[in-house]
Amino acid sequence: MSSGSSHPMSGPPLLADLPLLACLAVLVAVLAGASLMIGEVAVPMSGLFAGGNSTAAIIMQEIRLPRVLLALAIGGTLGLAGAALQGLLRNPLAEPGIIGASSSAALGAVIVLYFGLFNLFPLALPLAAIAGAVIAIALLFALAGRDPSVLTLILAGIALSSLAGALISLAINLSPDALSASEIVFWLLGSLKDRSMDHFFLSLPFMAAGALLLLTTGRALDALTLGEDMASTLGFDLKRVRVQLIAGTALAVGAGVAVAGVVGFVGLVVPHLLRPFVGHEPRRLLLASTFGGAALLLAADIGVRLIPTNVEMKLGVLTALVGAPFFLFLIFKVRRSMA
Amino acid sequence: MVRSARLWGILVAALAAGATAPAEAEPPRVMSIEACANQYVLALADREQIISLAKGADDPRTSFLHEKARGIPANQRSAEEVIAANPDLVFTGPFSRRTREFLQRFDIEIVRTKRPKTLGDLSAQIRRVAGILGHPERGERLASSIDGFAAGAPPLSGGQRPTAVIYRGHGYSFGADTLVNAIMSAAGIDNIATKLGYKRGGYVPLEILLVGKPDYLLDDTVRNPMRPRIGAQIIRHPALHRSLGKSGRIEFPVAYWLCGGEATPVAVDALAGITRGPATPGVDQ
Repeated sequence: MSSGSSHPMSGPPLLADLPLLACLAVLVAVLAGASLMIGEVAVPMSGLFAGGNSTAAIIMQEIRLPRVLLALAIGGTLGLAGAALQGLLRNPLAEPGIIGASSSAALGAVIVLYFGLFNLFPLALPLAAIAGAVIAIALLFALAGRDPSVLTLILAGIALSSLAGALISLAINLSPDALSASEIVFWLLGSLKDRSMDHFFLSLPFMAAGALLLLTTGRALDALTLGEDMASTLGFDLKRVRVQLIAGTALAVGAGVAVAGVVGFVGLVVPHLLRPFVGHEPRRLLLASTFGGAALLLAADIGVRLIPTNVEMKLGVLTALVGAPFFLFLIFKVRRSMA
Repeated sequence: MVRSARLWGILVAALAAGATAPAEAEPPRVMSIEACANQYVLALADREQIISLAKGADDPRTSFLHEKARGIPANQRSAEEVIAANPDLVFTGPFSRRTREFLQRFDIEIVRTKRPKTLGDLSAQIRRVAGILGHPERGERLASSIDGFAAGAPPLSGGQRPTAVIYRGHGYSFGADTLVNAIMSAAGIDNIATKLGYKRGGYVPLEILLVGKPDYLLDDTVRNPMRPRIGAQIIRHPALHRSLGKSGRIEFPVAYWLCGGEATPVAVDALAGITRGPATPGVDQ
């Protein structure tokens, strides 16, 4: 949050967004509070600040707080990454999941989990997931070129997702027993259940670095709305911007996938909903989408615990159930506007 | 004519059976196709009687009598192997219904072992299996040592029994009608999963477990590096570290409690030793 105000670009547009950002911040705070209060047992909120080892303190501080913090950080960075990718590709359908970054990050994580590297050295998990995401996004640029059409982008995304999916299937296929296979399958569905502060501190540096890289691309993204040539003329090194965006998205998505599995569509839905409120300016969309993504994932994580299913619904399943129809709706809309 | 021929055949078979009866000193040659059946066969049969055991019998992580199993051929638990080996008896577990139905068609005699819910169930099953294997005296020895525990441990002088829970990957635990519950009870420990109303196995959410506040978490410690488990992360959750303190985590290998047999008295003794130990349960903060 403070990174926005200390941002070198902060100026009138950000001031104009203050009411919107304040509304989103209140929403995030309310949802975070609600998330802390939901669980298998009733625990007083005071447990969050209690010292000692009372059950209330342990449940609040070791189970519910990391869950809320991870939802905030992962949702925020996913929303931000979606907004930044949409700005760079000048395409409302760009999203870490749709372009195959999430499934490639998942492939990296599955390899680490499957071979037990995680038990040897926990950092292997985010590092492998980030490497997966970097490879996917770099391949996407190689496949789709600088200024991809909607169709090229989606096709390249499908190709990358299929490739990552095939390799994940191979890992499941080769897993030594049925339990390992089902563990991988369920892990991939995405969840924040029973995570700890260790997970949060493990992923936070990567997500923070990714967010910083993405937030500082704002002015270049604004310039890009005028076209690549214009942006170059205005003095933006587009190559550097692209690298910055690839690295930022890979860091954010990879770290998120490493601790929560695949949670898709947050980066698609949030920027789209908020774009009208920021005058369709990519730079202003970045910070708003960060807040919006945090709010959306918090809401979804509350949803999976409140929806009365026999087994807890997985977070990635819920976001996909909401996000996929939204994706269809967006395709119809984009097609109409192109026709 | 056909009918009389068949009758004749049955008569001959009966006579043949009668003829071999006096020479029955020869104990049956057996095969086991299930992990817990392995433990009964290993404890109660002669080495020469055992044609093969279900694979894993020589794995120290999961099999209590793994040293005894060394060198005995392993089978892949398939009906085909049973038919090919043609044993006098094949020992199965409670769940292999399809295999059993298949083997019945080949007239192979099956001994089904059940999951005991109490130590009384267990000693009865040990006596039954020992009799079938032709070594009732061995069964009697083991069963009576278990019956000694079945009476239950005397309550501690303080009155309150310590509490514990088996906690495995993804939060799986075992409740009232399980052998490990009987082992805990005989060792003078109350099972939190039973108190929470679990009958057999089931997932106990972390928050619910913390509210149950067990004094001890029994960690089954199966750590096979070739089979890493994502679900095992929950056992190392910091919330459990804080709730249990330093002395609250007990390594209790699955080989001691998953299957009944020679492991059971050892398991009861080991757990009882914990509660008698220097650590005072429940005040580890």
